[in-house]
Amino acid sequence: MASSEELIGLIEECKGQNPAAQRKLYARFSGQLFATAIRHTNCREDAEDVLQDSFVKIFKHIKSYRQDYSFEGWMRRIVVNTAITHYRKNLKHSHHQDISEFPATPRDLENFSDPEFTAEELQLAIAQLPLGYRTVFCMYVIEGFKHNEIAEKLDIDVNTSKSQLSRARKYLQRVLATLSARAQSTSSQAAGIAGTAS
Amino acid sequence: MKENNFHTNMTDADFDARCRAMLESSQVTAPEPRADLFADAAPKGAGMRWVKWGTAAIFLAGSTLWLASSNTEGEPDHSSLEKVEEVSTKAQEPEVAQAAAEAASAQNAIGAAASAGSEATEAAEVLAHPSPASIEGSETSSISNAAVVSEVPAKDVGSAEASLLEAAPKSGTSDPASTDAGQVAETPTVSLEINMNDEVHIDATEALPSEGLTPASEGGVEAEVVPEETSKSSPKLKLPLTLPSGGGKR
Repeated sequence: MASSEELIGLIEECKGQNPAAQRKLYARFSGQLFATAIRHTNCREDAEDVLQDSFVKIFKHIKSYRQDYSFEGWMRRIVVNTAITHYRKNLKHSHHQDISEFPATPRDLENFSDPEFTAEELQLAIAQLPLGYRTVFCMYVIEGFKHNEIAEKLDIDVNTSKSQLSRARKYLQRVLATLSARAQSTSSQAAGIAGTAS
Repeated sequence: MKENNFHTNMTDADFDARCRAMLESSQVTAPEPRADLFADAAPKGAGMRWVKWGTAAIFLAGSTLWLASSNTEGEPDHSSLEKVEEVSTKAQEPEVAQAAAEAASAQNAIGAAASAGSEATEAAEVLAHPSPASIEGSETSSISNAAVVSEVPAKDVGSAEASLLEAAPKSGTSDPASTDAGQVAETPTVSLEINMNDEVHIDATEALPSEGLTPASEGGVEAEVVPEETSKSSPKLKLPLTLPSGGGKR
């Protein structure tokens, strides 16, 4: 991992519109920012567009960046805002799926009391969320937005943001519990097969 | 390999923290950057900028030259405009003359209406100096002046002719089939001379135009009645005319 001094030097070179520094910056942060874009768009093609547009904005406004804040957080905010703009465009053309279509039952929450899941499983579960749920969950849980900020950016009510976050969280826990149960059954089957074989 | 294991019930905050920790560090293989993403793609745009600036400069220069040429050619344009105005005024002159002629004809018509009596005298003159051409001329002139006004003297003339023609058969001297305007004009004097006395002859010749034409200025109806009365009363006039002479003798 690069040191902060190296990162500061890279940022300064990017402020001078150095193409080599820009390529280095892209190679260094594009994977992480692309993951963020995928979480918000749930589509690789859309995520690619969001990533490219985000880097255009980053290179254009990098002079306005202040070192008081986290550079990664600053870039991730740009990616999220670009994804939100993309989300609003898609919202006009796509059917908005209501969170009530995926109710979380108490049994699902009981099953989630002993979860085992990986980052890939979590990403898979997030990808199964409806667009509105996913956006609110990622903005609040991962990007650190507040509910009033989410409500302002998505043009929704604050209570709607809160309710969507709660339902998204329960939906994810249900999905992750199911995945964990499958993983446990497959591991036990594998252990039984291994025991019989031995 | 499982990254995390939770053996207790998780709160929402714990779940959020676990998700954040797992996803913040997650990375996905990013696609290749676009060719125009970096700053070294800018010189192409700069070249295009020079092309755009050059095109704009050429356009401005051409527009200024065109404006300058149009300003220099402004005077011929004015002269051509003046020519057009002259042509239009020349074209309008016949119209103005026509309008003046129409106004004059209208004034003539009004004058004809006012001088209906004079036209009646003209009719009398036509009767006095008979010629078909003159009758037709007078009628056509009256029609050309004003159709409405011309009807009145025409009727007067017609009524005068009718009265005279009616008077002629009663005299029995003139042939109605062979009578033309000239003969008709001569018949009153002849018939009156036959029917009336000398005293009456003088009065009747003077009364015919005056009595027959004064109503013509007032209306066509009386103009038709009065000559009939005069023509019908011409035999009757013998009695009163003879009465004074006889009465005087009596």
